[in-house]
Amino acid sequence: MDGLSLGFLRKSLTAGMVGLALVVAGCGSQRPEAKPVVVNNTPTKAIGSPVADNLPDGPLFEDKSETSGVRSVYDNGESVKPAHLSILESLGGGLAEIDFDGDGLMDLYFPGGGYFGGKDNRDILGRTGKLYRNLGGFRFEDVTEKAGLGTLAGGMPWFYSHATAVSDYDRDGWPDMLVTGWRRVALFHNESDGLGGRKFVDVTTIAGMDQGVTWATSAAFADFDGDGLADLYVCQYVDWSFAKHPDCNYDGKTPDVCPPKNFNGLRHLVYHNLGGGKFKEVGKEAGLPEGGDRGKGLGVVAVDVNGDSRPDVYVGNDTVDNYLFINRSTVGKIRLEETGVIAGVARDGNGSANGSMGVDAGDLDGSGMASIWVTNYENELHALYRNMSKKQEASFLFHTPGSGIAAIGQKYVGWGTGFVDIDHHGNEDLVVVNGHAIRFPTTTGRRQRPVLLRNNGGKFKVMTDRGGSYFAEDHLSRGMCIGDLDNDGAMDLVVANMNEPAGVLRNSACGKNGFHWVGFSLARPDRSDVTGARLEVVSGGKSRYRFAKGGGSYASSPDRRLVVGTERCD
Amino acid sequence: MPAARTGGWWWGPNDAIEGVKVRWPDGKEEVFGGVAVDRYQKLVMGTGKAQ
Repeated sequence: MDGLSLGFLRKSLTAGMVGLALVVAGCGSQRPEAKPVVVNNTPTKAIGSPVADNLPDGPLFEDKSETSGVRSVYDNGESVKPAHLSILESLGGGLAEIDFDGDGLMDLYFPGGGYFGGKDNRDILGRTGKLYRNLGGFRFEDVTEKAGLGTLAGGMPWFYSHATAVSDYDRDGWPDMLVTGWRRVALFHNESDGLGGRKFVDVTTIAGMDQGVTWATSAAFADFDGDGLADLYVCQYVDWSFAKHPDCNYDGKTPDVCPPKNFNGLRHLVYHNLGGGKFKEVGKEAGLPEGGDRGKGLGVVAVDVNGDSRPDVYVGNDTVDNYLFINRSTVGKIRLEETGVIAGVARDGNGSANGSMGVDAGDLDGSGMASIWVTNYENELHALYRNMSKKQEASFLFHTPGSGIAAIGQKYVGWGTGFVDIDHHGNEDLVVVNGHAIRFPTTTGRRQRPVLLRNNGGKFKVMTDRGGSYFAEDHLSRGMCIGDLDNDGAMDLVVANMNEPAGVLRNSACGKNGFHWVGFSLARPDRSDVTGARLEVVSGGKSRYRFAKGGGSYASSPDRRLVVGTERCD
Repeated sequence: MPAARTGGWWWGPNDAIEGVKVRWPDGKEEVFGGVAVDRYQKLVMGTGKAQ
């Protein structure tokens, strides 16, 4: 914890940054007089010690779905008659939170999914996704066509889509967007519409991303080789097609979607950003494993896990070992070393590979190191891997049993997820949205409730019943974003549901307990990618850490701003 | 928020924020002043001051 002391504050002060600090009052009022800065060398208290579990009264989230104007419904095509029951229909989609027009409010983009047509309904077709402009006050308007997202380049129709990733890949100051899916990805450049607004232009072919994709799922941007340009990691799933479409069932009689074990995994993709709007796929040279009995990727997060500040990559794979790629790149040459088993994050505590979907990373215990969180299939525990790395050697401990998380049981099939300090109490809680992957589950429902877990100093407690009305209902959820839709510092939730409208949930917990917060965007003067950076905020003698991440959750790109609750009020 | 603009630490009665530091992807660490509570701000590498 030596790095967590206030030593860096003293250093900054002696450097003359601050002689006397002006003093302001907490809870919104200002203290008029100046106060001498007092620096002490008392070691910072670890976050691992519990804080008061003082949840504010009332529901933590208010369901604004009906009034928000967000009408997105991900279509997985399952209404086709006769039913295909294809594994393609099981993945669903996510969403992106992206301030595409630069007005300071997070807008929302939802991939549309797809459907089946043509002979024997075996043509795999795409639905147009939806872009919603944030009007403020939890009101959104559909600007899909106006923003150029109604079709692909040349007026071509959309492909069957799943996921999004957001980055300013050309450093022009505007966020661009990738959409992934079946046999395709599409890269959209954010440009002026000539009328004072913004639009997206499909630059997939120009960028060199128009070939070589089999089945792309979650994706994450990060500058792996340190050249300042955001590169791209894209998960691929399995080698399913209608030419490889066996019959499956789980009760000996009822046809259903086949499990991933019936298919071979695919090698994932790494696109090196060459500059000038060009990318080159270098996954093989970068060291990514071939598919077969590996791969089957569904969730990805780029974050520094070994303390060298460079973005590493964690991948949740479905029923096979998860990946942890330690970044060994040099400028101009991307090299990712797969260390999942050695580092202890490939499997669960019993040594079994899980059906992993959603992923995130956060500081569990005040160590300043990013622990990893993974949502898994039913009859499995979600995985919390506590970061025990030392001297830049990645090492993790399967911490689910010791964290209290196992209390949620093993009935859920978890997808979108993330760490979030719901009420600014300082620790990051967890949210998981759920829904079964198959059509006719035998032991649990297909539609499932979301889950909220309260983090009280590294010990988690189920608090789903405090979530509000949305958390009291079953949903068929996939992607989810955590982000601040109204810039009040309270992190809201948006859920991408399959064959039902998206959920838009306003955080109504913050403010009730009066805790302060600070929110940050990290940037470099040349707009280089900052994934891998770490933020430390000292409050109340405790250091709290947040990480600049790429990807995360499932098939989604959350708000990248970092918010830290102070657990301090008066 | 004049204190934030003049580069001073933003202190509350309980010293709500005592320090803010970023470790950038190149490994360099940077302390930021001028941090205000209850608002968003930008931390730009090399500036040392919240914007």
